[in-house]
Amino acid sequence: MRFGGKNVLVTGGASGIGRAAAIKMAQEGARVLVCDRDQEKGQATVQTIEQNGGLASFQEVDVAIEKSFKEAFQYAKGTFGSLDVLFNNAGVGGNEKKLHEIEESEWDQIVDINLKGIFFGLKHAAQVMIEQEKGAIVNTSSLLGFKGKKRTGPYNASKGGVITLTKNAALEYGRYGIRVNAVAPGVIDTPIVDNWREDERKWKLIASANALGRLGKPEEVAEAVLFLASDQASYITGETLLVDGGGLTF
Amino acid sequence: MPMEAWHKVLNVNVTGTFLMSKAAGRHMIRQKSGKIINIASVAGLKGTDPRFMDTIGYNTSKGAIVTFTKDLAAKWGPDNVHVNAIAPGFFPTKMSKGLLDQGKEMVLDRTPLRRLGGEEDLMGAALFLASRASDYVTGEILSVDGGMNAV
Repeated sequence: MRFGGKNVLVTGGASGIGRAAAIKMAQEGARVLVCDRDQEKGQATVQTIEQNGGLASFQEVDVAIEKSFKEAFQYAKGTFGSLDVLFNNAGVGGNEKKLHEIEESEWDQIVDINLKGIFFGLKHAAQVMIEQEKGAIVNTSSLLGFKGKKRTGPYNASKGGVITLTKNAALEYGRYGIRVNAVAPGVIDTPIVDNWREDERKWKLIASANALGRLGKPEEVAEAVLFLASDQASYITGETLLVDGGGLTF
Repeated sequence: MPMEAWHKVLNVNVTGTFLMSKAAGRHMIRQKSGKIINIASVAGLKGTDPRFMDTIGYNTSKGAIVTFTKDLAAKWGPDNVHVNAIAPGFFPTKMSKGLLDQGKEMVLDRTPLRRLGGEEDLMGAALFLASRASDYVTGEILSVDGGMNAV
């Protein structure tokens, strides 16, 4: 029970990696505040946790809107009394276009959620955790934060930004006992890759382009998130842990 | 750096890791599963200030472990053999004693968590990389360094 008595806030908890991490953390004793834009699916995560005998609540949050995200922290602090872990995970993919075809609004939509949302999470979690003089934050970056790919410019830029911001936050808050790390998933079986599945031949290639030659499961990324968020990673901070089946080895 | 010292550090750190991987990998490939954890170092990820640590052979050997780990992960991934490495920062050991006796303040100054590593700090990382929790992680270099590499 690595999370017994711990209070955890998970964004993007309605589906994919966020959902898997929320469920696993609750299984290991955490009380989880599941945050997402999607109320119906977010509530479904809460229900699954409760059916497993765990504790969870839902809060409707758009991480790109500071006021909305801030309210989740107020709820966590008010109702839970403290915040031990933030899984700063919400993210979106977006239409695949070359840079010269992207409208400003399309850029903003992706970067506002994937990068500005991470900043808001760090900002408000830090305010709570500095007072407590402890805490662990895990951000979600991506394999695509490390490398280029055609037609995914805003996504890659936002995820690359997360890697560097993670280091900045680790440096700024290390002295308060707050650790800040990131996971960088490769191609994982979640809704964010749904638009890649349409072309079967191409999907087979994408899903096997790593050393293990297979698609990853959201639970496999969640395991890395739990590790980084737990006391097992007590001397790890500023690190981005690739969970990509060896996608970046070649 | 004398030639003899250069050969010694590369022999132990690089050739030793190669030989052990070869011996263990033979069984792991046959059984289609296995986990190898190599020990790299933060000194294998970048250069170090010579006023503090003047050890080009050591840095080179640990840099080699980084690439060795990634390439072996690429080669053995299809056989479901996972190859990862831990890159420790500064832990008070026999090897680091001389360095830390004179440069502890310099290390702490560059470590966001403001402390040296302890034995318990490495256990979690080793357990994670050895267990099913890391079943989709391979070719990864996990820094356990109090944030030193982030700075």
